[in-house]
Amino acid sequence: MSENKKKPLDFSELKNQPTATEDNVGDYIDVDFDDNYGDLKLRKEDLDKLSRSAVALIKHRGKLQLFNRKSVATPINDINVHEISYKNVGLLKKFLTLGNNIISSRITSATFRRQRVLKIAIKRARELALLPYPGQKQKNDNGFNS
Amino acid sequence: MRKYEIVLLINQDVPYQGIAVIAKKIDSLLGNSGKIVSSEYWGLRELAYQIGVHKKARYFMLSVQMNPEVVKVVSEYIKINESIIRSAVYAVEEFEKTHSQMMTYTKNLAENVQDSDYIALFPNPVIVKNAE
Repeated sequence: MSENKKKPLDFSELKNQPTATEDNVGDYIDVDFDDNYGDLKLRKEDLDKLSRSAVALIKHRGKLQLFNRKSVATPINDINVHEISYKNVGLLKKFLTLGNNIISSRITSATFRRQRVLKIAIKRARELALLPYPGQKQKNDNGFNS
Repeated sequence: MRKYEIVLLINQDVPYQGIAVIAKKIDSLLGNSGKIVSSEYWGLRELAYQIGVHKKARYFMLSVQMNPEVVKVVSEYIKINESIIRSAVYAVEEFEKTHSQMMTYTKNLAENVQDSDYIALFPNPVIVKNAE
């Protein structure tokens, strides 16, 4: 299993590779990148360098789309666990959606421990009317840092 | 002795001085089996949602060290008291060493409390944290 895990992809290394000619187009695969990277031809041999999910996408569509993704919320894993409490409302607000649902750890990449602490803290804050329940209107309160 | 945090939402019609009465009553209920370590007043703030008729409430937090048997006595008093809208008693591992994050929010509020007023309201044994 460990061999199939996500391998780091070095884009600069891939860019320096020889471009495809008319003869050996079949050996290459089109890769659509963000505007930052531009288009790239990728050799089939280099598929091992990609993550497992990316390889599955190529096999499915015959084409790979990569995007320069940024993390949505603040990096929760850098914060001290003791700082996550129902009193720290400004922090907790960052982990709520517009509908006041808790953002899942899949998106925030929070560890299991931190997500559990965060869940308890948000539910306590809701109990004390510091945070709204899901489906309730959001208010503009100047007291919180947002 | 365990460490607890008691958070009280007090009716806004109750004057600001009325909170000290509640703090002193809780202190007397504890007796020998507990003590109030510190207290924090978070000010009159808007509720995230309406509770009954109330749209605003005064937030007050007590950090208390007490025996688990006394929790029932204290929470019963909180239940009976009509001026308390909502309350919570949470067991915590450790108290915060400095004032909590909530105090920095209250600094921005219009109804800010002077430190000297604060100390006058909550004398010993209710120790007051500095609201810097």
